[in-house]
Amino acid sequence: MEDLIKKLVFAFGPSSKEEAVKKIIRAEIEQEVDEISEDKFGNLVAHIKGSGEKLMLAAHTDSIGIIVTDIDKNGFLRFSEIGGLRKSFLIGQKILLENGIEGYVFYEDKESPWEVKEPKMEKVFIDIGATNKARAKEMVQIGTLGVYLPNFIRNDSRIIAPSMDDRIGVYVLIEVIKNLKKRKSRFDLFFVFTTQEEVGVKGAKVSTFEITPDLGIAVDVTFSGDTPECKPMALSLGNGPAVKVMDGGMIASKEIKDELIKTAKQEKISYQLEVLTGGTTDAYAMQLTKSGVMSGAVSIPARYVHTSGETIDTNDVAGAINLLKKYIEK
Amino acid sequence: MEENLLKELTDKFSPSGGELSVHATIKRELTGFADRIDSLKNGSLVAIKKGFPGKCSLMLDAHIDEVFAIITGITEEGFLRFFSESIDQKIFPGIIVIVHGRKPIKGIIGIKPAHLVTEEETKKAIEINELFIDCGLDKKDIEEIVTVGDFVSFNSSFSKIGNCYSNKSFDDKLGAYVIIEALKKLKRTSPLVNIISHFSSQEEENFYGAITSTYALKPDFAIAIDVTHAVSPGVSADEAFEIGNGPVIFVGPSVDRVIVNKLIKTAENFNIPFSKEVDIFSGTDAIGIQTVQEGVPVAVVSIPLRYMHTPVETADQSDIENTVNLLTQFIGSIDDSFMEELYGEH
Amino acid sequence: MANIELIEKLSNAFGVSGDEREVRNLIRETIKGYVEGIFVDKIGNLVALKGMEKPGPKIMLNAHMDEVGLIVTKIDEKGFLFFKKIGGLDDRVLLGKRVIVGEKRVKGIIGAKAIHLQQKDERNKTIEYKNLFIDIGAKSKDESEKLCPSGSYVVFDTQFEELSMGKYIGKSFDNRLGCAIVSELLTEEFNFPVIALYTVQEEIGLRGASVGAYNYTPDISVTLEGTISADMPEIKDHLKVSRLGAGPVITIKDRSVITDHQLREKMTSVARKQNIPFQFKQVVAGGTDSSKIQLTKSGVKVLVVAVPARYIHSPVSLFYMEDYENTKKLVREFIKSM
Repeated sequence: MEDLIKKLVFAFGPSSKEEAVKKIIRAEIEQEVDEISEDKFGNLVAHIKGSGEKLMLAAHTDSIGIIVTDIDKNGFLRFSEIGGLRKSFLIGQKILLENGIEGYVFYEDKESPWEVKEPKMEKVFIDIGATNKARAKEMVQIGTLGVYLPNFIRNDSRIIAPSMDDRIGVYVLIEVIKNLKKRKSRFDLFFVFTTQEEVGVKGAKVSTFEITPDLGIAVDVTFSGDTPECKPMALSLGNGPAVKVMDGGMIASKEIKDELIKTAKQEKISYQLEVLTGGTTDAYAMQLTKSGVMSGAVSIPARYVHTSGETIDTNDVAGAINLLKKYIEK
Repeated sequence: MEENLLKELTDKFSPSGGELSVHATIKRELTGFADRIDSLKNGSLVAIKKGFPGKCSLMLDAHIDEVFAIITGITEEGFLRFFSESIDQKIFPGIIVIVHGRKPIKGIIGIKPAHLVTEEETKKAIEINELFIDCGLDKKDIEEIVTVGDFVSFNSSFSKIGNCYSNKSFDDKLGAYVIIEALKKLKRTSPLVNIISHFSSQEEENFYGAITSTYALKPDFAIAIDVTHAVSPGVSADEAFEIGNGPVIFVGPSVDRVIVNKLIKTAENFNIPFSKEVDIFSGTDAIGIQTVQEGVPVAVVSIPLRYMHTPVETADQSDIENTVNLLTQFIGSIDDSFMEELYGEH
Repeated sequence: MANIELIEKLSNAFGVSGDEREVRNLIRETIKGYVEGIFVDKIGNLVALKGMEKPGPKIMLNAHMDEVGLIVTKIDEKGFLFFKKIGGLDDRVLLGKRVIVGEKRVKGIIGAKAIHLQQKDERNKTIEYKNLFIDIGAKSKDESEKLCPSGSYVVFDTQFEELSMGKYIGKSFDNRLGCAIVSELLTEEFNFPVIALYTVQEEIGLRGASVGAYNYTPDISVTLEGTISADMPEIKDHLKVSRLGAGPVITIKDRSVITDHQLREKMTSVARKQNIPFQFKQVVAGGTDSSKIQLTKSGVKVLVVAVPARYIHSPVSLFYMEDYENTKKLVREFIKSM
């Protein structure tokens, strides 16, 4: 399990440049599906033919990141965010840029030289160790994208790494495809590895229009309520995958929610219920397409979402794979 | 006023996603007044009245979902944590709610007694995650009935005060009521256009019903009937409307000029009192309807409502009746030249 | 050579989000001899079709017709008009400006209190738009209501003119400059089908573009805009967004969209080959129609190119004609290179 997750985490893929992630996915599932192709928007669509209703499962390949907007006269880089970068967790982070160059994020510290008072995008910069502007311009250009420098910590059943959102969802879908008893599937299956979710659930919107599924399930991360003095939330790492009830953008389809819960109970899979008060997923884009798609989600509880140390429990991941597999097979 | 119908509609609990609970009531009321009535997969209810020649369709829209709270956790002592997107946290202390678990059970939301509270504390609103629903049960017992994700409603409190009616969920079952009563009045007439009455789902969440139904039904133009704010102490005439002055017609860049002008002319011709609400967006299903596929010309008519998103939403009987009247007369005066103007503009 | 007359007419035209009729009619008159089909869609967008029978990728040229402005909400007993803002407008540019109100194009003034009458602490406080008003010289509510009823739209009363050699001032360069470029390009011949989409209600949330590409959906769309140039004193270099005189501004990412990487690289290589100066939009700010066109049906590849202008979203902005010319040239050469 670990190896593939690590491979996915280390793949460079900020919104709009997900090629490296898609390459890995293709290699893993090409032999297991009937058709695989990339649509106009770059979504990777894998089709496992079946009779029955069209079910679209979505996990997004992109992660949050940064975009270089200026190279100043001394070779420092100014940048802007891609997706919901949490500014409080930016300064002091290492960044990996598209072409392999790494750098360190710091801030204009004149007003507060030792501690950061108020992180603002206009006041941060990246030092890539270039000695002057000309050297910097040899290494990067305006428009170069970057992500948090990938790293990977594994202890017990926990993994700490950037981009768990949503490489862990991608991993879950890959494993569902590999472990699925395809002949038992009660759906015509479309596994969509979407692009540009973090900047407006864009890939999912156009892909759903193209496929016109009857049902949609997104696999993404959600928050948890199990760290010291945290905002109360009834989700904990290790208590199983979460079935979505509602989030900041939508109310999950009752039919899908109930069916997932029924499956979990029947198969004795521990599960939790997700009520998220802020944030949404590809399921939101799916739901509002055309004359409507009944949509829900299976979520992996995660700590420190949208930072460089997103943390999940592999038991929840295994539970999610099993739950989806059993949901599809009947 | 069909008081009993209004009470029935608003007493029932229909949170976003749970609109089915009021479908039967509306179906029953509209039987005999529409040519077909269907519950849609997205939770909306649609009733279609054929027009003559019925080449085009007007969609009348009102949302039948109401605001709600949702259970987010159960404490060791058996108290329920909850959250609400659209209800002011200051409403909750001291009320009775219904938790819709395996079966509906009553709960109350109380606050700390006086001797534990400082003067300063009383000046601050209690955050929603510091409030708990007390159903008088311990953890084991409550867990038999309630789980995280269950919905919570206000207890019903239908009343008539002066010339006004009050209850939860007048937003927007007043709109549904208005459409029902208008259809009843139109029984003997045949409008030029088909009338699609759309009782929509999940407006309070993300316009799911309005957007997806419009895609399926493809109306040629639409009018949303919703509520707007009414004047009360602390809410001035700068930001709200007096009750008793009739329906409010929305004017602004996100509605269609031709439909709006016709609504205004209709009100003037039939001596129906009205006001104009001028703003950028109406905050109604019209926003979702307007940008489906190739676009739909929309307008919005609202009933002034005090205390929106509380258990005691209050509206004036004459405003409700005048809105029914405006809608009925508008539909009755749709003629070929109006349709030409609507399309000529486009 | 730029059609300065066209730019002037477009800039002076009355077209706040919600009432773009005058701009739409003007554009219609201008382009009708050069295109095969013209129609207005259900939300008010103007769509023009040229060369639809030609093979190859369908190319859309998009520009929004609306400008930011005001809308009259209430009239007081004395006949003063109170208003709301349409689109993003800083309250601080409203005070003491001349405006034009409503269908009857009534002239008005946003009144400002004389300095003599102000308390010390009043002097450095911004007056919120809620407390501003328009004076049309009427003496009663009735009089005002007959001339400009509530719901009337309001634009700034600014005339287009040359400030100094090749530098022009006027209102609504965001986005009449984009409209002018699209209209000028339509007079030329291309080897591909071209769909021109002039949208409405962009400034209030890209509403027109949400439906504008539904009926005639392109493969590639280029949005023409008038964008922020903040190259003013005391603005840090990395926050200037773009600079006047440095050529068309190409967007990589704004608040609403990431433009197509491959197409953008093609465009910049065309610029280099043809020696057309260009710059990248250096601050991720603003949203454009491109983001909605991008998500039409199964998706569209989009680009955004803009003429830099100072002080957009205010009563008077400034642009350089050379930037306009180079923007037009760049888009023309890009399409030709397909």
